[in-house]
Amino acid sequence: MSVATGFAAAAVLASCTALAAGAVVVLLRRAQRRHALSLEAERAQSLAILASVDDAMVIARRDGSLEGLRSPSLPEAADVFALIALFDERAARWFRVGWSDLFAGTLPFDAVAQQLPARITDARSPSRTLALTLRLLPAERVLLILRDVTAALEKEMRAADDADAIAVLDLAATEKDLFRQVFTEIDALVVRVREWGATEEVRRRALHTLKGTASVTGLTSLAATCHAAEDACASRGSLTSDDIAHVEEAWSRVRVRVASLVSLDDRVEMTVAEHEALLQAAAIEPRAALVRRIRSLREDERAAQRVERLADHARALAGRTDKEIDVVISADIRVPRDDLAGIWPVLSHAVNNAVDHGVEPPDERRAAGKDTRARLEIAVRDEGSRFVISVIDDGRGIDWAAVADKARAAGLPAATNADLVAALFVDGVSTSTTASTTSGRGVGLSALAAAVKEAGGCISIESSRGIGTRFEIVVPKKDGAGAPGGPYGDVEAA
Amino acid sequence: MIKRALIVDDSLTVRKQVGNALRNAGFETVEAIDGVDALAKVSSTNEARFDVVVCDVNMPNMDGIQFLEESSRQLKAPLAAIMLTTEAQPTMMDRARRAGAKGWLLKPFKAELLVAAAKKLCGP
Repeated sequence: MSVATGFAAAAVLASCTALAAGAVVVLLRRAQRRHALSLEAERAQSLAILASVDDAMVIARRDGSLEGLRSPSLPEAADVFALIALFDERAARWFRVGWSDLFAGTLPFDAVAQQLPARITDARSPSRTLALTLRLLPAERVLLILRDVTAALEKEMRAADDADAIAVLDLAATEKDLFRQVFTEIDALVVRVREWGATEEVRRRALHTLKGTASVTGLTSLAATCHAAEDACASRGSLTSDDIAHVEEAWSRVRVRVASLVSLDDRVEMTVAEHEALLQAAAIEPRAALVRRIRSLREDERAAQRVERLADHARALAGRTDKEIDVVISADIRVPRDDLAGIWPVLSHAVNNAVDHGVEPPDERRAAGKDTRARLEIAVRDEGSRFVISVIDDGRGIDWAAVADKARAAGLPAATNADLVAALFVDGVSTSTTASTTSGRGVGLSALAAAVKEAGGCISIESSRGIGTRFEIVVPKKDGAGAPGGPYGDVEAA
Repeated sequence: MIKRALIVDDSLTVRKQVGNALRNAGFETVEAIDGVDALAKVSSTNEARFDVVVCDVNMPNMDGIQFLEESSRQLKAPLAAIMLTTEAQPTMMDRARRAGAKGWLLKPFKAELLVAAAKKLCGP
């Protein structure tokens, strides 16, 4: 073959190859275009679907990075943490800490997911709440679903407010007298929580007392709001204006619906037993005493109605904590409204303590050789110059060693019994390690002590390990003679 | 080989619940009432090491996180721990994680979950 033919052949071959290559490229480009078109169509279709559902969705990988396809409503973000941080910085911190646990396999995905924030507040419009759901997808991918639950929550809140209003109406219908008292009490407490110039301690106590009064009265929504404020306060270290505003709003929502009932009452109530006692007295008592007795029916309140509320509260609390109790009450006396006005609202703290910390669960009682049903006695006595209120339980008794530890940890004296009793009444000294809706932060007893001190009374506690606790509050009558003891520090322990 | 679990909680009820669940699942259990007690138990020389620790966070004397930090300083390797908490905070859990916590459960929790997690941490 000549060189020339050789070149020609090579040229033909080359042009053939070029032709073929060109054809392949064309075919490939077409295929690519078709593929790109179908991908684009798929993508457009997916986006259309994403855009038409209310939930916003995005898929995150194990390292937190996000896949390209996402709901158009979601803002751009570098990764899942940055995305959540755009809404809620605190929730994003949670996700940074907990994200890798989702894939660690120690706990099932759902169990870890449950412990990450399920609701986030949209920082860009704070009245909006989003529910955040995580679903595990194949290949260590997580589908995040964000749903606006603001409306649903508002509906829930309205239902809770309705329940609260019904509880107050129920009280107004059955016990007008108590209703008026409780209404004014809650009003005063809400003001005190906000009070400018009051110390943080005073406001925290007022908040705690408000929570107690609310739950005794069946205002569960208000009680829950107070609890949430306490929670927020515990994690941040102080009460914020927002926390207080939530509490005020919760009360005012109920208040507007029942306020008109406060001034409605123009009757004097008495029980049949009181009526009979009055008839008997009319026959034998001197005139002056009789007048006093009749006046008392209008001016003084029945201690029993207060104590019955506390008993209901104790039973409900025991039910919630899987404990069995019999509540025995004895309070068939009338008490001038002013004398114990400051004590009633905080008395629930003593009851909470007895049920929450004193009374053991049935198993523990059985193991200790006790009746599985605990006994709680709440009594109010008139001792002439003073009133004596006692709350007695046959529970596990106070763990004085634990109190001593807590007292020392708080830098308080813990040498004598009196030191220990005093320590029980100091803010933040609780022997419990968990704060429940009812008690555990050590604020309750300090609020009680403050109220008793203000009324010029004193508290004594007797408690034996395994046998029970006897809590006694002595308050002098305001009309006169015989103030007991000194300040509330006049306490006894046994 | 029988796996050993250390249960650290100041609540007798929780210790009983967790203890029963773990023993029913074949674990041998040791209980401690707070961080100080737990520290004594993990560092006492007679005790074989623990395969898993189930630990409350909020306890008197020494809390659960301090205990984990202290024990990982004293022992060569950190303990594999599952934390039990009532209210969890990211900063708190971050500290726990660095001290060896492998997971956490919010009270109240299902016993089966805890047992499954404890088994996973112990390995085969």
